[in-house]
Amino acid sequence: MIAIAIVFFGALALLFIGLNKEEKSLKLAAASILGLAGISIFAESKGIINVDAFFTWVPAGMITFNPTAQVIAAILTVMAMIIINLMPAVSRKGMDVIALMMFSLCGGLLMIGAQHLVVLFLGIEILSIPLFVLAGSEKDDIYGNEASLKYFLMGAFSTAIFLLGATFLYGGSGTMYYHEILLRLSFAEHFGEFPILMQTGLVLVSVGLLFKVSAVPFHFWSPDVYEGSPNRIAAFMAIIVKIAGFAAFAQLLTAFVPMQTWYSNWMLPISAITVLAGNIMALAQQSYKRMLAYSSISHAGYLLLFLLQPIQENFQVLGVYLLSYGLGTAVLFYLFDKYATSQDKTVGIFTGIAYTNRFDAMALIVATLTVAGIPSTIGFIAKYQLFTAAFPTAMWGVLLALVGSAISISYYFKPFRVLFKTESDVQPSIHFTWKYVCLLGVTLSMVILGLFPVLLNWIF
Amino acid sequence: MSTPESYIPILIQLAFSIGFVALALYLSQLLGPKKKTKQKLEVFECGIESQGDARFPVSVKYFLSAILFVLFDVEVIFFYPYAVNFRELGWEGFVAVLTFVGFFLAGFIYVWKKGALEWER
Repeated sequence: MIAIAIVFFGALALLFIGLNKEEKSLKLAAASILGLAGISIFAESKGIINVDAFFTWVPAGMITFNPTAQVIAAILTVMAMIIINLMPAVSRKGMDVIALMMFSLCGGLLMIGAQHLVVLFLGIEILSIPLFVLAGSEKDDIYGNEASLKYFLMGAFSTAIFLLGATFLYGGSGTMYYHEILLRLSFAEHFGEFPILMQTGLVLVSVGLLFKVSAVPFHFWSPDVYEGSPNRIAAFMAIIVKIAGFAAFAQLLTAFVPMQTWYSNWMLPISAITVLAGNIMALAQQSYKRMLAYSSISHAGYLLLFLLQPIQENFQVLGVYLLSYGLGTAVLFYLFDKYATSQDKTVGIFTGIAYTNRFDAMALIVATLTVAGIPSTIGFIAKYQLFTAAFPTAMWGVLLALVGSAISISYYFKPFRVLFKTESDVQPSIHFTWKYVCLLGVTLSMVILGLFPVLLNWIF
Repeated sequence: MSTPESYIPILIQLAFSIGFVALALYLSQLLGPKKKTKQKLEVFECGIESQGDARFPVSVKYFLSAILFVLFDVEVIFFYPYAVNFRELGWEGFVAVLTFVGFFLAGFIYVWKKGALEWER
C-alpha cells in the first residue's frame, strides 16, 4: 500500500524537478522512485515492513493488497520502469510526461488493490485522466489530438456505464464491498435465483471494464488511439492499462463466483469473438503499430478465457500471462519506435537489421516469439498455463483461441521476411548505451523464464 | 415492487414525448410556408457574413486562466462544510484539510512556475 504513496509523491517531486532539469537525470530519478516502490511492495509482501498503522483512517477493507494484488503491483511497477527507460526522449520541453505516467500508474495500483466499487472507480479515473492528456502530448500532431479526443469521449462513456452498473449492484445487494456482495450472492444462490439488479449491474460494470481492456464489441477506439498517440504512450496504454484492467476485473469477479455459470454464458462469446476479430483484423494491417494494437485486442480475448472459470486459486496463471505479454509488447513497441519514420510504419522498417544491428534483431525475434507463444520463451509457458486452466470450463473458447493463435503467427512473423534482407553491404553499428542494458535484461528474462519455468514459481 | 411491468408508465411517457416531438416537427414542416431562394438558404450567423474555416488556432490564455480559477474555486467550496464542522472534526479533520490544501498548493506552485499565469507571453 505504501507503494502508491511512494509513486504519487515521487511523481509530484518529478513535476517540480522537471521544471529545470535535464531529461536523462529525470529518467534515472523516475526509475529509482519506481525501484523504491517495487522494493516496498516486496518488503510488504514478505512482512518485513508493516505500514498498516499509518493507514488507520482508510475504512477497513476498502483497499487490500492480497498476495495476488502484490504480485500484479510488482509487475506493473517493473513494466512502468521498462517503458520509461526504453522509450525515446520527450520532444517538448518539460517532463510532465513522465510524471503523468507515474500518476496514471498510481491509479493502476489503486485499481488492483480495490476491494470496494468506489475505490475501483477512483482507480479507473486516476488511471485514465492522465492518459487522456498523454495521448495528445505531442501537441502539434493532429493524429495525437484525434487520439486524445477519441480516448476522452470513449473513456467518459465507459465510465458512465460502469457507474450505472455500480449503482445497480448497490441497489441489488445494498453494499459496495466485494466480500459483502459475495455473501449476498451466496445467499441468493441458495434460493436458486439471482436478483435481476445484480445481473444488470454485473453486465454494465463488465462493459465498463471491457472498454478499458478493449475487448471486441468495445474495441473500436483502441487501434486509432494507439496509432495516434506517441509510441511511449501507446506502449503504456497497451501494457499498464491492460494489466491493471484485467487484474482489477479478476479481483472484481471473485465477488461474483456464485454467478460464474451465468456470466460465462455471455462472456464466452465475447472472448471468442475478441480472439477471432482481433487476429483477423491484425492480418489486414499495413502499419506495424496498428497491428500491435489489434494483437493486444486478441490478447485481451485470451485473457478473458481465464476470467470464465471460477477464479480463486490459480491467479498465478494470470500473473504469468500478463508478465509475458507486457515484456514482449514493450520490446516490440520500443523497436517500432526506434526504426519507424514518419513516412514508413510498415514492417519494411526492419529490413536488414539482422546485419546492421544484430542485437536489435535478436530482441525482435525473442519478443515476437514471446507474444506469439512459441516454446523456449515465457510466452509459451504463459499461454500453455492459461489454456490448460481455462479448458475445463470453456472448451470451445480454448479451441477457438488455438485457431486464433495459429492465425496470429502469420502476422507476427511478417518482420522475419525482411529481417535478413540486405540492400547493400552495410556496416554493423551498435553503440552500447543504458537502453541496451535495459533491452538486454528484458530479452534475457523472456528466454530464461521460458527455459526454466521453475523460476516463475519462485517469483509468484 | 421492481417487476418489469412497473416500468410500463415510463415507456408510455417516453413513447408519448418522442411521438409528440416527431409529430410537431413533421407538422411544422408540412404546414409551414417555404420560399427557397438563394439568400434564404445561406448560412445565417447574427447578420454577419460567414467567412473562412471554423478550424483555426484560438488563443487558450483566457480558457487556461478560467479553468485554473474553477479549480481553486472548487477548493474554496470545500472549506464551507469544513468550517461548519470545524469543532466536531478535531485534529484529524484539520490534518485532512491541511493535506488537501497542501496538494492544491503544490499544484498552484507548479502552475505558477510553469508560467501559466503570465498573460504577456
